[in-house]
Amino acid sequence: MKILIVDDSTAMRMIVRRQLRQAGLGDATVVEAVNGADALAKVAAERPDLVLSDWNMPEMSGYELLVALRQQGDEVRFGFVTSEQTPAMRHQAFEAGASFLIAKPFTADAFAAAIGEVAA
Amino acid sequence: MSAVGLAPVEAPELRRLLADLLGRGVTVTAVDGAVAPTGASWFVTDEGAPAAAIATDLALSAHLAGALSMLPPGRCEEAVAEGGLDEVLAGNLGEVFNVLGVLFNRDGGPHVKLDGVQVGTPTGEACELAAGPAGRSFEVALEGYGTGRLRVAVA
Repeated sequence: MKILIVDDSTAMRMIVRRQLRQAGLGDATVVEAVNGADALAKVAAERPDLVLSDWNMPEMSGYELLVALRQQGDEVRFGFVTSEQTPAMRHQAFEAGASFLIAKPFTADAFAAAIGEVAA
Repeated sequence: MSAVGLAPVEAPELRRLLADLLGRGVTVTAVDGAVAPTGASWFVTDEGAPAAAIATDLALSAHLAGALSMLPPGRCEEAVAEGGLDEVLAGNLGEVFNVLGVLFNRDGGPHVKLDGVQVGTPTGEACELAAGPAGRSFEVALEGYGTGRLRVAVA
């Protein structure tokens, strides 16, 4: 499994990697991107099986990334990892094609549950 | 700040949040007194009304920032000895503040978001709030790192 982690915080990307390992996904190939625009290019180049993206980022937000992917006809599995989760954001995310939202601070169990459902 | 109606932050919820974020043991104890801020952050409602502020002293700023990405504790001690955070630690502290915004978003309450972060010699409304009587101070001990103080105020 190849996973693209998208977050403008180096520390958060590292934490997501750690949680993936603890969730039993230590064998996954992990690619990183620093914002939505970077991720858009890396989805095309790397063809990940799953994108885990922050919501608020400079240049291109996670939501804008998801919309751009779907507009291109790319149906890669997509989940948000974000500290903000209003009902409106959740609605917006699922309408745009997200599979799940994980709230920061997240636990390995939250990752395992969300990704397990998607991978099943 | 005008009243937004947020509930005060309690020690147990702050402890749980930091423990989940950092993946290590955290002890939080309510204490008296102000906090000399090295890090400050402020939060607003969707309408832009000031809603909350958090300040951290030099020691806790350094230890939170280091623990976030598991930097060597010695690097945090160096930052404390030198009196300031380097760019990496400052960036990490900003991410900690971002996640601490979860404390202010409760079911049925107004949506609150991070509006700004200052690291170094914070000034302005967040610091005034931190120094004022509306806040609560906590001593926070991070397992494997160190101890420092945090003050949080809500409107």
